[in-house]
Formats: sequence, C-alpha cells, structure tokens
Amino acid sequence: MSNTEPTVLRQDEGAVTVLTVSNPKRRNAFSPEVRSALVGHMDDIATDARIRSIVITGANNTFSAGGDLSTMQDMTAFEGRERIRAGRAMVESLWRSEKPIVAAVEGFAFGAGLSLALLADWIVVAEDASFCASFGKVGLMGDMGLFWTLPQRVSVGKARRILMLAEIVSANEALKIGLVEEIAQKGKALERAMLKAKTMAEAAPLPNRLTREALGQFPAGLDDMLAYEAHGQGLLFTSSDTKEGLASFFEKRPPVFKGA
Amino acid sequence: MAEKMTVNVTREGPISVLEIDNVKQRNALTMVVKEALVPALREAEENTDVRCIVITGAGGTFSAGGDVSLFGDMTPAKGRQIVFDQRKFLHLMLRGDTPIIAAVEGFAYGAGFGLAMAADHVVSAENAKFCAAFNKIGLMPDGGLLWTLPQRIGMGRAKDMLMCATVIDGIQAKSLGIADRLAKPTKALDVAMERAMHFASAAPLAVATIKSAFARYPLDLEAAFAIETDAQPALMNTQDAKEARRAFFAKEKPNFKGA
Repeated sequence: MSNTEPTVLRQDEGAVTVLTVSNPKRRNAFSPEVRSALVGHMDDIATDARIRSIVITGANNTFSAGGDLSTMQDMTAFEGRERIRAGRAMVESLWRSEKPIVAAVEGFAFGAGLSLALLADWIVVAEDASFCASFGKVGLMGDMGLFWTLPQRVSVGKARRILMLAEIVSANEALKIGLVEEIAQKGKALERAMLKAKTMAEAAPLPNRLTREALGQFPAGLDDMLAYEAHGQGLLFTSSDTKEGLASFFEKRPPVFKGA
Repeated sequence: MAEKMTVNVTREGPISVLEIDNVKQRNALTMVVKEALVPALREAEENTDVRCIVITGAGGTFSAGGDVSLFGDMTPAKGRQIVFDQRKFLHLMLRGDTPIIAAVEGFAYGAGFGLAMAADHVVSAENAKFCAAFNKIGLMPDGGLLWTLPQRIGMGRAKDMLMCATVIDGIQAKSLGIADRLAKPTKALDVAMERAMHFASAAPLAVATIKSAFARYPLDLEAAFAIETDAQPALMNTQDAKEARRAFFAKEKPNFKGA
C-alpha cells in the first residue's frame, strides 16, 4: 500500500497512542477506509492495557476536511443511509471509549472533521486553524453526533449560528466560546496535545473511566447523577489506586496509579 | 476540649449565614459537619422570613472537601452510603425554594467544590482556588458535580476539571462561569452579603418557581412549556404580583411578602 492511500496511522508513545488520519489527496477526508481503520484502532486500544490516553490528529498539517465529497456523487438514499450508519460506528467507538481522547487540530476541521474533533475530551487547536460545520454548503445537515456534542460545549445560540450559517470559526473565537480548550502556536498543536494526553494518562484511570461514562449519558437528571456517583464512589473507595492515592497524600509524594 | 466542628448560623435581616466551622481540617465535610449542615439548611429553608442563604467557611477557607481520614477503611456499601447521604444537603440546596450564595475564600476542593457548585450564585475571592481533587486519590467526582459543573462551564472544560483535577483560581473561575462575582481577597463574604440583599428583595414565589424548574434539568421544550403554563397563572394571582403592578405604576420599589 502506498502512503497516499487513505488510512489511520497508529503510533504509541509510552501510555499515549497517537492516531493520525491520513488521506493526503483529500485533506484527510473521511473515506470508508479511514472510517473502518479508525474503528479498528479504537477496538485494539480498548483492550490494550498499556494505553491510558489517545491523541487524534491529521497528517500533513491539517485535521480533516470532513466527508469525502468525491464518493457522494452518485449515492442512492440507501447508500447514504449505510454511510451514516458506518459513521455512527466511528462516533460510538470514540464516544464510548473508556480512555480519554485529546484532539490536536492544525489547519482545517470542517464538516465531519469538526464532528470528529468534538468527540474528544480536550481539543488543542493551532492559532491559525479554523472550524466550520460546512455541511449546508453541499445541501446537507450536520452529522456524526454534532447535534449532540456541539450544544454541550457551546451555547445553543452559538450552535445554531455554527450549524445554520456554516460560519468559519477562528481558533481565538473557538477558545472564547468554549468550542476548544487550548490554543497552540502554529505547528505545535500535537506537541501540546501530547502533554495533555500524558497528564490524562498519569491520572487515576478507574475514576476517569466512570466520569467519562457518566458524562457520556448526558443530558441526565440530578438523581441519576447522584445515584451514579454513589455507586461509583462506593466501588472506587476499595480500589488499590485509592489506597495508593491516600498513601501518597499523607506521604506528600506523587501517586502511581495502576488502574486497579 | 474537643476541636470545634460545626456549622454556625447567624441571621442578618432576611439573610441566614451558614458558616462551616472545622478550621483544623480546613472545613472538611466530616460526618459531624454534614449532620450540622442538614438541619441548618432545613431551618433556613423552612423559615419564610429567610429570603437568602449564604454559605461560607470559617478561618479564611471554604472547604477542603471530604474527610480523608474516613476513606482508608471502607467497603463498597459503606462508601456508597456516605456518598448517597450527601443528597440530604444537595437536595435541600438544589430543590429548595430559597436562593443560596456560596462565598468562597481559600480552598473549595473536592466535595467542598461540589458544595459551592450546588449554590445558585457563587462569589469568589480573586485568590480562591477550586479543584475537583477526587482523582488524586483514585476517586470520581461526587457532591453532585457530574450534574452541576457541566451546566455551569460546558462539557469540555468540565471534563478537564473532573478528569485532570485542574486547579482554577478565582479570576479564572469568573471567566469560566464557576464564579458569578469576584471579590478582593478576604472580601468574598462582604460581596456575598451585598448580593444576598438583591436576591432577598426579589419576589420569593417567583424565585422558588425558577429554582424548582432548574432543579428538573435537563428539560425538553414540552416540559419547560408545561412548567410555565402551570406555574405562571398561579404567580399572576399572588399578592406579590399585585404589589409589583402597584409599585410599577406608582414608580416605587415593590415590597414582596412571599404570598
């Protein structure tokens, strides 16, 4: 396979794994190959005990231009439906991940590329990068979970503007409205994302797994969340990581968590 | 004599001030403190002369969180019960009728952060520090933070605070939406008392209805319509609504009675 074929590359660095969307001819657009490669990696990572956090980025200084328009030309309605269903598998593999995800965005995160970034827990964006829910420009609506993820991060008013007007959102604007969490210098998004992913990898994995799962159930009512925290905390109190956390607290040293 | 460990209650006009006083443990929410907090909240809540509750901490700090000394010897059932019982004060705060202001100096960590986020309004000293410190000892957030924090600051930043135990100072807290008002160091309670007078002068039944609606979050559009359709006609016929109409036309300040 030549390196111009659409795929997702995986590279591990200690407890962090980096997934790089690579589709050089189409600015890392989501072809069916990219989608299935991403789901395959997420399946492997789920059972790989060495890996504690995930970074998602794009090759060649851009995140992703979104869906692959060249494959949408002569699509029937049911082919389109299959395509969205395949997209859903990708969304679920990321959203249901028990390991935290950091997105490193350079260049463009447009259309489904924006949707992909928003599935991350933490988004680092290069100062000159931009976002756009560009679906409307080709007569489509937002997909890959955008109707659910976007209003969780920004206000409903902002979400309407982004989705209905396909406004291009600059990195600074994105930080201001809470669409992303961090800005990096141009070319440094991945470096900053690795630092954040390392912090997440060193954090106690069991509570973060439960936290991520609880927040993944949103929107949820007060009593659902109070029940969740009582059940979860009851289990965590007896974990060896909590013993280690308490010992390190009283001994005034950094804890070493094992995820047990 | 044993160290003092209680919640001090004082009244200033329509405002009830609850001060967590367990200075030796930086106002940790021990079982004793929680058992004092529940009746203090309930009495303030049931007293219709109290129009606003201010929660603060003694000795220049809000609360360092849970009682770490309890966590060493735990079973799942015991741990679950301790966390489950926190709903006694969380329900009183989140489902009560009386607006609650947290006045935060020093640390609001762990369950102390949860306590602050369960308030309707948060006044923070510029140099106060907020942290969901739970996962530093291998625990998940409790004190209602899974529900309260994303509502205040959005999912991305909530995940950062909950999953990375990121420490936020008062100034950052204000820009994120964790705090609603900033105060100079040591002045959080003063500013909170000023803010409390504003909340205390609002029409109490309307305030109670608003609190009750928000306690039912998330609301879909139909549920929100149902609440306003049911509650607004009742409010329209209160003495307070009549008083407000009279005061409006007389160009006076209304005097609400909660009736």
